[in-house]
Amino acid sequence: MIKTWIRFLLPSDEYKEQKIVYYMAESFVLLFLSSIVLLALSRFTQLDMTISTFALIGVGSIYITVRYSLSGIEYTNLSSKKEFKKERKTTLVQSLIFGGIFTVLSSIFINLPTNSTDWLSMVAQFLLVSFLMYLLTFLSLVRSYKKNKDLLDDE
Amino acid sequence: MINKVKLARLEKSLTQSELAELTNVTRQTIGLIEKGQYNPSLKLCLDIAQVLNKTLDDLFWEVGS
Repeated sequence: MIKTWIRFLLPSDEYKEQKIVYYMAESFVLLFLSSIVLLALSRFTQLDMTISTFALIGVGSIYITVRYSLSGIEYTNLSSKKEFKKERKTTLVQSLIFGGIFTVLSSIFINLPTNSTDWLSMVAQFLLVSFLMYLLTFLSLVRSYKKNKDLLDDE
Repeated sequence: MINKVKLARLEKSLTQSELAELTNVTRQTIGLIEKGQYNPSLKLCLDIAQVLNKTLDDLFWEVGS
């Protein structure tokens, strides 16, 4: 076993582990290049430090999440239509829960709604976050299902 | 990598899921190995060989290569 402090972030399955390590390495290269671009930009423009930091965090985390979801390695045991449908329902519920928690937390930390416009934007945020989460997990589900079906026993 | 894992697994009447469970990997990983789309580590090769009662040569050696 390779000794590394990052092990707690990695799965026990070696194929999945290898893939995630690759995605992390790719993300690091992207982050490095993005940092250089931001550094160069900061010499000519006045960049907001907070926005730049959030942009870098976004680049790193979104890249890994998207690559992981589209690689079809998330649902490793899914191979029948019945399992797929069941998982799709679970995914929808999980996305709505995630959207709800995200909206409540962002409202608490950013600003609590005080008028009807705030409430409306809060609902819009909930729907958007839930939809994006569902879209990503649904894509991951479809990719995993297809990949697993191709690898199924022929007998 | 061409291998005879699937053949040996069928000889032992094991499903992909069962072999996956016995070797502590996912069924997807077993499927990928059988299709030659993933080259497993030496440790996993040994685990598979032990479960299937085969040697590494039996499973992974390509005759004539």
